[in-house]
Amino acid sequence: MSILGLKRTKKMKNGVDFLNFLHHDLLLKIVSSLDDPSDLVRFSAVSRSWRHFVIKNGICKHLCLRMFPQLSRVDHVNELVGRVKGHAEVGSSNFMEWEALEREHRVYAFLARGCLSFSVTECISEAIIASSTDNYPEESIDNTLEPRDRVAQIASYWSSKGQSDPAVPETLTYKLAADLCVITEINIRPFRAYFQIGCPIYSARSVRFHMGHLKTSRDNLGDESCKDSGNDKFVWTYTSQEFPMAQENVLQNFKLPEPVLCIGGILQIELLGRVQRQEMDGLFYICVSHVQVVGRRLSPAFGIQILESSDKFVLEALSYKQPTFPEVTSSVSSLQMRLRDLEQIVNFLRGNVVDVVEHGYGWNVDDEESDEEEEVIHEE
Amino acid sequence: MSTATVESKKITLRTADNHEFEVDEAIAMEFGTVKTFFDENPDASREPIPLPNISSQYLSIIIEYCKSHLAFRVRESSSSVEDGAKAYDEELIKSLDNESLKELILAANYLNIKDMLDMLNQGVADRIKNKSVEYVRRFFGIENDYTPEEEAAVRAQNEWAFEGVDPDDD
Repeated sequence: MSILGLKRTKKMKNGVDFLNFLHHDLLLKIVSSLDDPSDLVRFSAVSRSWRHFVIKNGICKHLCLRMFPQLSRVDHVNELVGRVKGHAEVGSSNFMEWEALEREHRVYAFLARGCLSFSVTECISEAIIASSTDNYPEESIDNTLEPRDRVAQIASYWSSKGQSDPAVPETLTYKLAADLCVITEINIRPFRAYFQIGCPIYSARSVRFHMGHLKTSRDNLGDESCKDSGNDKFVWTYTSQEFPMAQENVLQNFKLPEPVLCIGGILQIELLGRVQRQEMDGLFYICVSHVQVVGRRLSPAFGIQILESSDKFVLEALSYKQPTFPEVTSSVSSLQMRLRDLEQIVNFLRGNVVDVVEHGYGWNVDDEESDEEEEVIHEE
Repeated sequence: MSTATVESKKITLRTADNHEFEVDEAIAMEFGTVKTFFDENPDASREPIPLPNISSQYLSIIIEYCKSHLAFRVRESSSSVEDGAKAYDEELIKSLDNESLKELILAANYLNIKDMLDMLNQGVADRIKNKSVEYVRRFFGIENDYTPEEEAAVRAQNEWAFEGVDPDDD
């Protein structure tokens, strides 16, 4: 008599498909705990029924969603790779549904691959705008892309405008080199005014990061005269915790607790709280010498289309080849650095001597009487 | 021996190969199927419970597991207790060959022992990570029902996934 209602079942023979004897959700659990997309793809090569199982249950998609919850905003995927061109279409037939699932399987598998193994590089392509700038263009946000504190004897940093209230924050907004990037960490070096008495360091009290995209597509990005940092121009899909910042002019590392998928290629650094008053005018400033954003670029393999009416986007697979990028160890190629050197020198030679001197720039960097503004210092 | 019904703290389990195991009720209640049965039939007589799908070899492992984990749980939760439980699990998994691992999963699934099942599933996942397609087929005993052309097409679609695989060691 079978007390527990447990029927006598066939003893499993060698070679009989494990899948048949296993509960569906048992195999699902095993497969779902695999976190390498290569394993999932190999699984689908084991047999037809296994491939069917992996695709039907969206295993690759779930892996990506687990790694990057930001992907919940994906409306659908498009595949624009070589001969396989498939756009998602609205259709109610089973065949369409299966095609869509197969497409998702391929796209998400390669996306997971990219997120885990494309090269880690510097990801900023250009500076967009700062919330305020004290002396434009000498102290513009562009200087933060330059790793050196000094270029051809001229200081290179961004400075905010002065505020009497130290709680007033600032933002620095950048465009990344790809619409889809997996960001792991951000490095920031606050600026130390070596030409001021006491060499004060104009760091912020803490920092926070936002990632997202432009509200409307593509245009009006390079509007430099726009004084408004235009927070209404961006939609943030990720906001980090606050990280305390040290008052040290070293490249400080802010590692995100988990890698984050930046969708839309816009990253903003929010600088919260000012700590350094400028002696000369008694106002609080924030100055940043260098910014680096480190991560993996998923373009050109992947692209996105933002759906403007909703907050969703379309994920596009454009290639299934791993992109190769030139080795970039610093944030600017040497060509760009030389260009900056040239710009600074030309500025100087063009007779902006007055301006340069006003800001305490000058050949005698040890000159302790240099002040930020107003007084013209007589060079020897 | 008295024939009066005494509140017994022991339950007897009979395996497929006719071995009987007497275990504390607390241990038997770790088996979801047993617990459900007695919850629904509180007055059921405590006759030996037949487990026609489980051999003594595996039931003894399961009983040891439940005993140990019950003991861990009874102790105050601390990181050393957690480490102890983890170490036990790791040792257990290491000691099992692929065949035993699979049989235990079936048994734990049959008896509905959630924690053990989760641990065993993870053990299987760890064993098939970064293994070749042929290894996975052998591990689970799967027939390859692809035609050579179909299989080549599947591999071609995701070439990147088939590189850098561990050499088969079975």
